[in-house]
Amino acid sequence: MNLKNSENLWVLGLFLGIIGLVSALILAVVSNLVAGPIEQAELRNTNQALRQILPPFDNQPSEKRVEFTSPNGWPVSFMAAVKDGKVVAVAAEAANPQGYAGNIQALIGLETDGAIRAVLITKQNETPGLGANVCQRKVQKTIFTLFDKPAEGLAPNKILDQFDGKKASPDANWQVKKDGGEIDFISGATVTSRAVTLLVSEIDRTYLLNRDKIMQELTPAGGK
Amino acid sequence: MGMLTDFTKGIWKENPVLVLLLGTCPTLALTNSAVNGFGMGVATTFVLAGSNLVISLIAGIVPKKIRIPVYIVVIATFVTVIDMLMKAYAPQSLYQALGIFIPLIVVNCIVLGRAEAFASKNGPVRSILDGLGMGLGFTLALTMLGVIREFLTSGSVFEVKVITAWSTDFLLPSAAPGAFIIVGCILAAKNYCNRRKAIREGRLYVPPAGMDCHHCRICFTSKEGEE
Repeated sequence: MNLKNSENLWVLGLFLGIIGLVSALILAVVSNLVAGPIEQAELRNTNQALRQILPPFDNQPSEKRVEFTSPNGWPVSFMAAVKDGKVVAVAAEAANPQGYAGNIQALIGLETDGAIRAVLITKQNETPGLGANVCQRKVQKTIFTLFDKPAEGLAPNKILDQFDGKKASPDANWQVKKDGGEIDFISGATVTSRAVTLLVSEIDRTYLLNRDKIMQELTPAGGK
Repeated sequence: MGMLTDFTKGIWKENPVLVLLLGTCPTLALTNSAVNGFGMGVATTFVLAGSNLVISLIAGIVPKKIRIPVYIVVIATFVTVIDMLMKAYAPQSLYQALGIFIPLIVVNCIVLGRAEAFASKNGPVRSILDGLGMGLGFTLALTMLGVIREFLTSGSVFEVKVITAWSTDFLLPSAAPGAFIIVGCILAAKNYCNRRKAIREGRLYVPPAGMDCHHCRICFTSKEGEE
């Protein structure tokens, strides 16, 4: 039988079926093989982000997450940075679906009293060069600084940095200046600035409202 | 000689972007910065060489009638495997830079085009060379486009600001309309050069085979004027 010029529908169907089966088999095997390494790689990435916004810790914060609902109904998950059996800071993660182009997800480091340590935008799809500038922490290299050593720690971002050390207490007016608030924004990227501001303030508010419960759940057993 | 041409033809003479006009989607969508263009090019090169190899090996037994779906399944499998392996073992910075492009390669018609036009008719070694050459040509074209667009947008090249006083981005070149305009200008320039060269050498300018531009008639009208 000449397979190459075959026009028998059964033969063709069977051939395509076998090819599909072989591919599925290969994919299944590879997927099984790399499942472990992928998990480790993701854990490593999360830890790297957490290390940037939290003080030194000796536990695995992403292992234990507690979820709460923010005042306007978004799920916010909290993780604790534990050092010597004591919670030293909390990381909170949530997403705002009202970005200019879909979800904006933030990871925020909080002091135990609710003051913001650092804001990191982990997922966003905003316009490059405009909305993305609100979200990205990136040092602009120039030809004059090309061979300088990169600075340690988080790269500055003047929109995200203005939350540092503040609390979303009831009298804080966390709205962009265009809406009568006190938060600077990038003109031309008002939607993104608004979304980030709302996201940060909702996360912090959620923490302040549920602080006792969060601390109770995140404090490791046996510690204080 | 024959093998060397298999490799080099993709770089200029049959450049997938500038001559064959294949893979226009990633060309327009992903070249808003030099790094992005380069990343997409490198990822595509790997997939091209690999899928060309696999397809040249199985081409002998694949029934003609269903060769396209078979090729697509093979390419998709190959791309998914690479994606999973990179996610697991590549350094984070590399996966962050290339990761988003890898799934897009499945729908890149350069890969299917080379499978159909070259790998299915030639042996494995020549197919790999063809894949590498085409991939290199694709990478060069995309990087060049990325450099141009990035420079026109923010005055920087490979994310290094060359003109330090350029503080506000000019967004047109980095957006989709800018991509069309710049690619159009490059293609027009390339065709113009080709036509000039042909006239100097005293032969008729024939537009690249497979480029259906005959309805436009600019090339033919101007030629008649000069003769």
